[in-house]
Amino acid sequence: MRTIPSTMPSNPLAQRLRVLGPAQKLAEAERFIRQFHEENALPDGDCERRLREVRACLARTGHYDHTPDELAFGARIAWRNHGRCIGRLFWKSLVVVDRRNVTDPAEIAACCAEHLVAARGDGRIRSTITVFAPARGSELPAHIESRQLTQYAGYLEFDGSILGDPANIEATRSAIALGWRAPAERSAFDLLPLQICDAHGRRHLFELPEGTAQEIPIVHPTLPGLAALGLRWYAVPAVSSMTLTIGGIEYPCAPFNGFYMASEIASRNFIDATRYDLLAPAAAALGIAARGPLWKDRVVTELNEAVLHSFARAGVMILDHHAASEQFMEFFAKERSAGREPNGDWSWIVPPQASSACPVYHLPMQDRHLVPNYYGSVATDGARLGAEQAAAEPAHGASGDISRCPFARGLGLLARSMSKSLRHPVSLNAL
Amino acid sequence: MHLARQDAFPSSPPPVRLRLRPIDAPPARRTLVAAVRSQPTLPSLVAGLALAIVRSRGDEASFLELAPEVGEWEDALVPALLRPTDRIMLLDAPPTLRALPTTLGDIPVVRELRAIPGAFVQLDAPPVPDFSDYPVSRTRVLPIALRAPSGRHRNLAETLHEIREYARRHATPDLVFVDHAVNAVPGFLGELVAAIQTHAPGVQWMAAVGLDGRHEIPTRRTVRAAALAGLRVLVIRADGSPSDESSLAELCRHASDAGIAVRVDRNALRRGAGPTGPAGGGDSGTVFDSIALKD
Repeated sequence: MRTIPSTMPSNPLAQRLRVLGPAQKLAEAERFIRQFHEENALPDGDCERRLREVRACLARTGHYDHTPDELAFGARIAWRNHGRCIGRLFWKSLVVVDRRNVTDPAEIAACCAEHLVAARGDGRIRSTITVFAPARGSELPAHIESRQLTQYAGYLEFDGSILGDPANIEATRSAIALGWRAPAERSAFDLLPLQICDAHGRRHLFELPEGTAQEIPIVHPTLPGLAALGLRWYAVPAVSSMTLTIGGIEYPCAPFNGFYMASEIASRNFIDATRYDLLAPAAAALGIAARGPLWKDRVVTELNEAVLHSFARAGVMILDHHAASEQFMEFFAKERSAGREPNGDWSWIVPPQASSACPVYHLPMQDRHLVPNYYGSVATDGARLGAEQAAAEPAHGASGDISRCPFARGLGLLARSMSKSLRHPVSLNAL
Repeated sequence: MHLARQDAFPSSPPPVRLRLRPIDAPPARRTLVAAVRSQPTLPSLVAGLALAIVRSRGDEASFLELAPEVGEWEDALVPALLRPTDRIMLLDAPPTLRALPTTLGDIPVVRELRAIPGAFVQLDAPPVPDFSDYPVSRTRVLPIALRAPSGRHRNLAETLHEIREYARRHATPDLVFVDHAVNAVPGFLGELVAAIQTHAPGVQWMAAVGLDGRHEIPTRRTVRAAALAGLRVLVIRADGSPSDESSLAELCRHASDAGIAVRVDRNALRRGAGPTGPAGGGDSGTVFDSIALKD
């Protein structure tokens, strides 16, 4: 068993990131560069020239820099590959903001504030990612420790009761220890400051400027009692603790946002026992008697109605789970027609509300953990990233063969030749 | 916009200032006790750490690690620690003073100690340990302490908070409750059993129970409920006295009926276990020895 000396400084970020050997990194880099040139129909000569550059950089420094186009493409492909997201129909329209030159925590915080405002726009939320500096070997960049750019504080009181979001109790304690002063009158929806860890491991807190995070009061269109609960939620969900991996390069500081599906707020954030746990209070506020086997379903449905109504009233984009499911089905069909087998993690894709009434419930799907992708930690969701692709490539330098099986290899060669002539990739599924 | 930096102590007036003569302990102690009494608005104020800081001769060690060094300050610490809010204020000496030698002969050296702003630490609510350096993905087992840094049994809310964090960070690993026995505080085990699966669905866990008169012996009903709540291995700490033997046999039977694996540790109390568990956390290794790690 490996022993860890007690004096060894702990670096949580280093433990979270994928560790790739030189050969593995080179293989991922080559695969990505080829994919970039193939999918963008760029000349073969350019691809070979770029591959030579990348190989030389990797051999010399163990690192290479993506061009802005490669970065934008990689971020979009990472979204397309991410098996847990239901809203990938619009993967091509992801706005990629390149901030790799920004390393100062204060500037990172300012960029995050810009990100939130720009993504929200006039309410038609644009899926956006801001990419900061990547990890270079053991040299780790500044990164955001907050799980989302906007999130609500959670206070665990002495009597064991919880005010606010229980998922953020630890983040709240950490912020208070770093000098954040919670509002004099604490509420269940106090916005937490942004916590950023710089390249030297020091933590910094930044309060987002007034108006950066738009909050929407949750009211029901026909049941006014709900307003008494004082519920509200922020408009833009911006995940900030996931790492973007592109071609063997890890970007641990790459906050991105999409837009909400109502059930994320109504059925999960408000209802989960480990979150706001509002089932009983919401039932009382909505005038639904907590009797019979289906009262919970009624409460959750009405809460979904309230969230959809409130966002629509505020002019902020949101989807219901049926529309989101339809969009995913369209994404699935488009991917297959493009010759790609879409990835999906069934337990994440199927909405928590009216599941079997959504077409995705009946759709067999598989997550092959392709790279580029996004992941939280190599110990959990990042554990199998890229493994299947690496296994499919028999050895470095023999990437022309997709399998040892002569039949499959023949199909692979056929697919490759067709993709060249048609100027778009064709997979075995399309044959 | 910038709120705070971890590495910078603000130069604003500190909330508490103590003037100590560290060479001369009794006056310093009197100063400390007076300071504790003079701060009724603060939940508790402990200056004993200050001496430890001076003793550390400028070592930049973690403040929390200094706590066990308070030694001779216990008389002053006890009344503070017994206050119901269980909070402690960490004190810091300016770097120039920390660098001074600990003895200066007969020269009276007055050292100013300043409270670190925002450094109230709730001793019963320590930060959730960061196990990112621990091979959770391979072992799937995490230790969870039931003894707070104050030495007392942690309350259920704090324990559940830690379990929730583990479930979120590590996708519900299995847990081993170390140090204190889960039945050391009346009602704790029952409440834990009722709540644990809500906060970490699918979790499996291992825990120790004590059998002497200071522990609440789990009933058959509690043991069955614990099995349903994911208890897989039960370590029974017994001292081998005749009164324990009947309880031990009965508890073994209940656990066996419920499908819980049992390990009896007859030497736990003989090794110096206190009323709530083994002294000094020395039994942690024993508990770990019996874990069947899943690879």
